Amino acid sequence: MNLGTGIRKQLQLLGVVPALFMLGLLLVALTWQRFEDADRDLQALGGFMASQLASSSEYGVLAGNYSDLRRQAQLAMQQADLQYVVFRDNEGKVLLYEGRQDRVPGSSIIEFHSGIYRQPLLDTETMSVSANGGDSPVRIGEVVLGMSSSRLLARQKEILLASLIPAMSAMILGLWIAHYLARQIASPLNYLSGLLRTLRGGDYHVRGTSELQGELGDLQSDINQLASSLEEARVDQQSAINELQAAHKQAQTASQAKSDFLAMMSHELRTPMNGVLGMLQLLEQTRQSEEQHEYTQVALESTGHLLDVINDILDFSRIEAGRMDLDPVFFELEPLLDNCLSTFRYLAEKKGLYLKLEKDSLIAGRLVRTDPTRLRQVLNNLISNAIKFTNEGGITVAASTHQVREDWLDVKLSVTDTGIGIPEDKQSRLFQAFSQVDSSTSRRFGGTGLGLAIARRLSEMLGGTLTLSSSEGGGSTFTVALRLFFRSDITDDREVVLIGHEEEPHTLHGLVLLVEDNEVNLMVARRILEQMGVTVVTAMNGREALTKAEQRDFDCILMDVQMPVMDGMEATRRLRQWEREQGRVPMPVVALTANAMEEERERCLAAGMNAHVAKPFRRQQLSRVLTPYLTPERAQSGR
Amino acid sequence: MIWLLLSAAPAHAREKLKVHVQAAEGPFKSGFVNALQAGNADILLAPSGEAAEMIVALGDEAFSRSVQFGKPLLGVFVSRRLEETLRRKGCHCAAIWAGVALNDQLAMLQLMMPVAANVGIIIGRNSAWSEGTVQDYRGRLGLTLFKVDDQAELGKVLREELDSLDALLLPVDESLFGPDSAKLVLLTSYRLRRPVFGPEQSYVHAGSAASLFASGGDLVSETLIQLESFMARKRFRRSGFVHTPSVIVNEHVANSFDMRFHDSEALRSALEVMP
Repeated sequence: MNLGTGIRKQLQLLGVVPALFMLGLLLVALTWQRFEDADRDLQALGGFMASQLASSSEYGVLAGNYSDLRRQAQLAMQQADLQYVVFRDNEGKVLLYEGRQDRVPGSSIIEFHSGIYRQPLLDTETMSVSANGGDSPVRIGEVVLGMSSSRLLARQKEILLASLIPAMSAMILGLWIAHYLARQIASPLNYLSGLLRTLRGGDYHVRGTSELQGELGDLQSDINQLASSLEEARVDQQSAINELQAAHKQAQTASQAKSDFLAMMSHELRTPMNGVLGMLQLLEQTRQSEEQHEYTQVALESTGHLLDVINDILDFSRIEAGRMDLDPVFFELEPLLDNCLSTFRYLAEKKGLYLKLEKDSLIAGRLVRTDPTRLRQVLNNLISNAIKFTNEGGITVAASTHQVREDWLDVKLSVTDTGIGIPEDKQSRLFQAFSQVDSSTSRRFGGTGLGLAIARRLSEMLGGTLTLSSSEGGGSTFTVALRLFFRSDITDDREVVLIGHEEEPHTLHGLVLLVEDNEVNLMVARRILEQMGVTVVTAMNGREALTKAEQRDFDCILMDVQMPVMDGMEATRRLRQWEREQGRVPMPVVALTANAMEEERERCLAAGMNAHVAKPFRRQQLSRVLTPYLTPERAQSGR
Repeated sequence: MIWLLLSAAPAHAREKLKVHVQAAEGPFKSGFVNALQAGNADILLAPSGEAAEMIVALGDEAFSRSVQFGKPLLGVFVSRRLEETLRRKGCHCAAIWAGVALNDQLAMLQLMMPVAANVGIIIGRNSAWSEGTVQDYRGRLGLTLFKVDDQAELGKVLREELDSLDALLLPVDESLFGPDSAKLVLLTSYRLRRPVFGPEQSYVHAGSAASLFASGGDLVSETLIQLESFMARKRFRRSGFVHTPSVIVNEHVANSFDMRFHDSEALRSALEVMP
């Protein structure tokens, strides 16, 4: 509490200041009055002495009797305050001066003058003025008394002292009373204030127990009730918090369970999918009749759709869990757009639709910075949907840019179709997860209903928006608007990712250790690798792979992650440790896992692996990943 | 004064005179004795009256006591009445009377108040001037004599009579005009605007306008004259007042009454040139 403005201080001031003011006024008035009295007394004394001396010095002045005058003066000088006596004749000539030798220098003198008169002759027998005298008193001179004011000053000091001592006593008493009363009033307030502070500090168990009366008693009672209420509220709140925490924990557990389930499902689905897809790809390479080839293509297409569905579910799950990370790099937008369109060109042409790209000239030669994988995912989703819901006409992908600042570019990517369009009242539901325009759409066109939800969330994660402009029967335009950091210097290849068309698998060379516990997948991978021209050595688990790796050098090791005996992670860590201990050049290790989650990829890299291929994989994917390690030059160099 | 005493000393040697000075012990006596010796080398001081050829008595009391020695006795500053009384009883004595001669005082008064015409004189039984003395005055001033027996009558006389007078002249009279009555006499006179003259120096100090008086020097000079006379003729000169009295003026009173001379020197000078 600030003592300067505390209630106790204020009460003291309120109690003391008016009393002190009044006391001061009274003191001044009384002192002044007594000063006046003292001054008046001095004046009266001086006047009286002067007149007495004047009357007694008549003879001395008349007779020029200096002895008599001196005697009169000396008699008068017995009065201690009298400093000097002067007798003057009627012409002002000094007849006698009698003064003190020990006069205090500097002390002020108050003079009293009294005329000396020659009195008429008094007949002592009749006590009447003699007829002979006749005349009235005649002034024959004057006496001047010099009175020191020191006595007056001393008297004034006495008065002042006599006034101040009671005043000081009264003031001290007043202060003490004010202090006592203020404490009597302020102490309960301070007590209650302390009580409130304790409550504010969170201790709601405290109760006021002081025996207070009146309003303060009521206030204490109110504070106690408030404390009770707060305590009850806190109990309720704690209970609610506990429930919330439990719910949160439950939700977390559920979320973890969901993630675990998704990961498990991803793995469990992808593993057989890998077998199916791999076998279909191998089958596709065999000599087939036209009918068989058609069946194989349908099977491959269906497998691709199934894989898309699985990927959508996983992506949405990752976005919901906040585990979707972006990897922004500089890249050229134009090749990405071309690549996206070329991916769907076959599909569009098969439906008799045109698919064209309209781009302004500013796109060319500029490197924008964002995550190309996710942007491609958004565009693929939009183009895929457009083809899916368009039966006539075609799809136009338009790219326009607008430079907003020196190094910022507004990019608008729109996908316009001439399809069935979307009713306005159903557009808001379109971006919601697991939602399609209506259930018939799902039945008619298939899909999980996650695509647009994922595309919008990814657009927002990229710092942009995804909007829709459509009318029923009038086609739809989905627009991705992004504000991207860019640079024009494409010669600086730092962080630049080159995006190109998927190429046919290269012919590779070298010795690959394929580690896979699933026999089907082992066979699929082995056949695909052998078709690529690679010599394959297999191992069924990590330990076996480690043994083989220690026995001979491989140009690359394709390592499954989840395996019995020793998983791929542990095998890679031990391999890396062995290589360090032996001082050997590390062998490239590419993870081959059915877990497509991003965390899995990071865990693989953390364990010492060089790359990551998610199952099921296409031949092109595998070829692209292995190319850096299995080119003829590398293979011939003996690593 | 010393110079006067020295100049008064005879130049030739004479028979020594053993003199005993009878007086109350005090500075006046010792000063007086010293001045006598300094004034006349022929005077030998006798330690007692018995051993002396003559006795000099200062004051009435010493004068009265010295009679018992039966030797020539010179009273100095003694009252006229006492000297005359003792002389009538056969005392071989003479005296320098206390006070000054009436005529001298009146002459002085005339100088101070030339316009005064009527002067009152109060005398008592022991006054330096007798009624006859006053009556013998032949000057131009008109004198009014008031005879009083004691101080109690003074007030009444003064109140009743002063109004008709121009001034009041007082004789030396220890019983009438001592310190006790001075204030009465002077205050009464001055309240009636009548100046008082005489009788001697202390009275002037007390308020009398002016007075001739026999000073110590005057008395020594007069005593030396008597002693020389005695040594020469074995008898005293006639008793009388000092011949050359001193003068004193109360300047304040003289100013108040606007008298002719306001200070003693001026008055002395004027008196010296008087015939």
